[in-house]
Amino acid sequence: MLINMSAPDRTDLLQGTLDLLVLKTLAGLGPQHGFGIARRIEQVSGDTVMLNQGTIYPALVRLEEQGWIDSEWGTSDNNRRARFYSLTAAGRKQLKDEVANWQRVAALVSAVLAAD
Amino acid sequence: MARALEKLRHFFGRTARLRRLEEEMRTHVELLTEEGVRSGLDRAEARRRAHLAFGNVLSTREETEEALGWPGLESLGQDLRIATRSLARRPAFAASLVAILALGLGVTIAIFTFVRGMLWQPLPVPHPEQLHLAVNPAEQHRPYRLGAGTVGRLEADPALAGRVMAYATNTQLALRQGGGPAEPVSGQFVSGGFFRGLQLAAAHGRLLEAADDELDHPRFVAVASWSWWRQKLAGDPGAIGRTVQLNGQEVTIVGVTPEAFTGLSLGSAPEIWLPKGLHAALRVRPSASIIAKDDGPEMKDWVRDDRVSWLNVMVRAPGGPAAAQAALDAAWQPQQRRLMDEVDDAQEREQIGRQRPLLQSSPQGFSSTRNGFRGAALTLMLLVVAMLCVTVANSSTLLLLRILGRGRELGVRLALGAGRWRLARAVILEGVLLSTGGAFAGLLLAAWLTTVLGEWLAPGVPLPGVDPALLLGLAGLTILLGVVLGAVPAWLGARLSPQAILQQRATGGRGTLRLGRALIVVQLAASVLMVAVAASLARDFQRAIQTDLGYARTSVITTFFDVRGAGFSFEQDEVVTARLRAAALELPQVRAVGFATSGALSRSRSASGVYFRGPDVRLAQNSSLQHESIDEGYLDAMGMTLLQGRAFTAGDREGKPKVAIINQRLAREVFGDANPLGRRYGFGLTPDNDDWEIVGVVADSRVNGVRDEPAPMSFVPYRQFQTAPGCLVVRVEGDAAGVRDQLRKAVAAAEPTLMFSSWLTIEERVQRWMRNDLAAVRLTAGFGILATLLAVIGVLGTLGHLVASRSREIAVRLAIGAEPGRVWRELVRDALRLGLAGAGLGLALSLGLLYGLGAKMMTGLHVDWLALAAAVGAGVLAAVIGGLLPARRAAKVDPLTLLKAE
Repeated sequence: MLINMSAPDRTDLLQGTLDLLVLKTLAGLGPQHGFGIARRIEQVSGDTVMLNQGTIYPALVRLEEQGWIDSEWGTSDNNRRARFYSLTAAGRKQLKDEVANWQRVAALVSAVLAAD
Repeated sequence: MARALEKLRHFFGRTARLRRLEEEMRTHVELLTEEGVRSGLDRAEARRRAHLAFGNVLSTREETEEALGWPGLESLGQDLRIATRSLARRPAFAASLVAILALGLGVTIAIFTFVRGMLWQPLPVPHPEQLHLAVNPAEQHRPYRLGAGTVGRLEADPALAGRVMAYATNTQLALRQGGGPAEPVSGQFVSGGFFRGLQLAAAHGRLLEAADDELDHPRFVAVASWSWWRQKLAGDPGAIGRTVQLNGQEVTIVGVTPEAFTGLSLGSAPEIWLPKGLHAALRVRPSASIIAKDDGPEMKDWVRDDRVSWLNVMVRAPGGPAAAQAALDAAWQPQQRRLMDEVDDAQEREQIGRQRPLLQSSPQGFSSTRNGFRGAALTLMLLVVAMLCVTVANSSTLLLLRILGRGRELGVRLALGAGRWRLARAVILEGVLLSTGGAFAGLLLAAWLTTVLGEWLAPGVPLPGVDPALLLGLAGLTILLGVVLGAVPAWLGARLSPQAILQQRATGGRGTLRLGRALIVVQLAASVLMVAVAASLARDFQRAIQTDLGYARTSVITTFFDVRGAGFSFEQDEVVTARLRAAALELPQVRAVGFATSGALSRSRSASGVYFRGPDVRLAQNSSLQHESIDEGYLDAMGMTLLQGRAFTAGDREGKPKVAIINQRLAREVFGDANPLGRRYGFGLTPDNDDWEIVGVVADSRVNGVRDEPAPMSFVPYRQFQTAPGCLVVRVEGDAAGVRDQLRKAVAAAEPTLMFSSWLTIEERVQRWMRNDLAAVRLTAGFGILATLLAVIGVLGTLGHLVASRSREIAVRLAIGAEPGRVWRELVRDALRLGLAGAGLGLALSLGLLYGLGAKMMTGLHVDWLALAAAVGAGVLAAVIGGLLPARRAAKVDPLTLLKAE
């Protein structure tokens, strides 16, 4: 899904985390198009996440299939027709669950790694 | 539920969504490009970077499609197009694969259709599953022959009203229409309730009914079969009501049976049906077993005498046979008691007392043809399975080689980001496309083959068309076949690494070639099996057809006739035979003329229970000793050898002491080494004046069949045994076929009212007798040749690929001085190894088959080492021939050209 081509200092994303990032981005930014979401993730991560921007679209389709996000046509800043994605109520709940889950896992992994 | 609905909605809106996503992605790339341009890059460079940042469009698209659920329907259409194009690029390859598959599937369908028609086709009447036939469990469940009395009692049972059908064996009748010459027609005498029980309706006119067959007042009516009506009555509905002459009696044709109905026995379709009561008026004696102390019942008694058993009985029992069986038991008992009264021997009486006709479910009627066919069917099915194995292995080999040959293309597609599953699917689709093409071509082939097979193996048997269920099965089989065909190469292809392929390092690795070799060995083994079966059958056929019959073959010509049917009485027999003999002897080539009742290779015989007299006999009783009634010229005319004693003379007639000539086999069985001349036997338990004295011993002969061992038998003068002569035997100088026409004319002119069947030499009768065996030999030989050819193609392809993939190595070896001969020999040795492996496996299969199932298989199929050796030789030879061509090509590799091309 995400390919680490050459830069050794960039991080490969864990499988499934992209969905979480997309949800979080939408929660923070409000309705946004694909390009914006990808740009935002890269910005927030300080360009440490190497993202093939195209992979955002399968993620968006997956999330929409789950009913966590919704979409409608709109106009982008530079007057282009663009599809805007927004979080649904179910999506908000899912995000809360996933964040909690992620924190639990992250804490656990950190603890195990620190124990050495 | 709601989610499923949602999915379904999405599924139908799929194309729109995909288009939308594509637009989004395009916009995305454009936005990225514009960003680049704004930061000072030129447009082309910005575009390049935008694509780099966006990533692989192809795999993104695929992933998106998959995320949309039900992936692939659309891409399936794409793959289908790719597969079609890819096949169309190499039409010869596609055509040969379709042809091979068509062959395999066509033969399979044809054989299955044929076997189904022979073994499993029910009678074309309403509710055939209700039909039950009275059979004899003590005699391999053959139809029980019952007396007309038993039939009458059964018909009288009110619970069985309209459900009882009785019929006799077919008999030959002489038919004359409007003063024309007599011609033979095959008639069956049936009970009045026959057609009602079958629930058949007439195609024209009416069928027989109970009133046609009243005791003592049978109506002179007949029903024609559809095909006979079409051929002999020109299919004229006006022929209903017309009167024809049958055995000299005026009989009215009242109707025609439906086209599909051809009687109750497969392979012996009657041409007309008559009320059973008419047999006396027409002087016809169908096959019967008669148990009587006195000289035997008159023909008119057959409809009322329980001592004559001549009718097969079928009962329609919708609720199972239990009630009908009880009724049959009750109806049979009076006849059983009557028969027991006729027998003196306590042991025999007890035997009759134990007999009981059993109702057996018979939705297909009964057929000895069918029973004889079972072994052949099993053999055919096994051959078909082997053939199918060969075709699948063969086409899989070719497809595998094709994939390996396309390694470069697949590598490029993999490198471009095509998913492995997607690639595999394309290959499987090719397999399905090919097998679908093969199925259609195979269906056409099957339609043609079915008729050919039918005419070849079972002439005159109405065979059904291809079964719709079979077609459905075929569709499933086709898809399965295609998937299997494609799956193996696809699996191997999916394991390829793009780098390796692009660098031309890989040819699929060792595993691929091992698989290719295994497929070759399977093909060779199956072809060896088929050749072994064909060769064994051919050798057996050769042996059987050249058997010493014990009588002359080419110089003897025989024909059959029916004096009683023509209206002659017993007293006239001698005049008729004398006239025929004189006419034949007019021809200068004729050496001897004789008469018999049954004749050799006629499929008819008569037998009687006899007791041998004397305290020292090794066998006191033979309950069914075959008797042949002959005149004084018969043994000489047939070319049979008299070993001891004397032949019959014209003086051996009624009123004189009864005499018999027995064959060697009977003599040995009964008297051992003692001299049988002067010994006696009789039909009664105790000696009396009617006993027969043995006056001669004749060498054994195969009169009942070419394959049947000579049976113990006794010859008696027809004038003393009081049966009608029915077979004319003429021995000539040289080949009898040469005088056939002259003889036929001369003899027919001497007795114009008599109707003669075909005039054939014994040699011709032997050929005709072995016709089915010959067809089987041809069929299996065809299978064998086909399978061997396919195996050669398989070896050729696999080794050819090996040579092509190793051409660099070979070129290097040649360049550094290896002899071309060595390269050549190595490949041939490789082919030989494959051949030996295949032949070994084939030999093991053949032996397993012959030893394991030999008894259940086709007549004449047994372990024949010479045939097996020939089959093994053919298998090895096929492999070597298939290896020679690639080996030659390898030896001809020009190292310079090839290495330069690298």
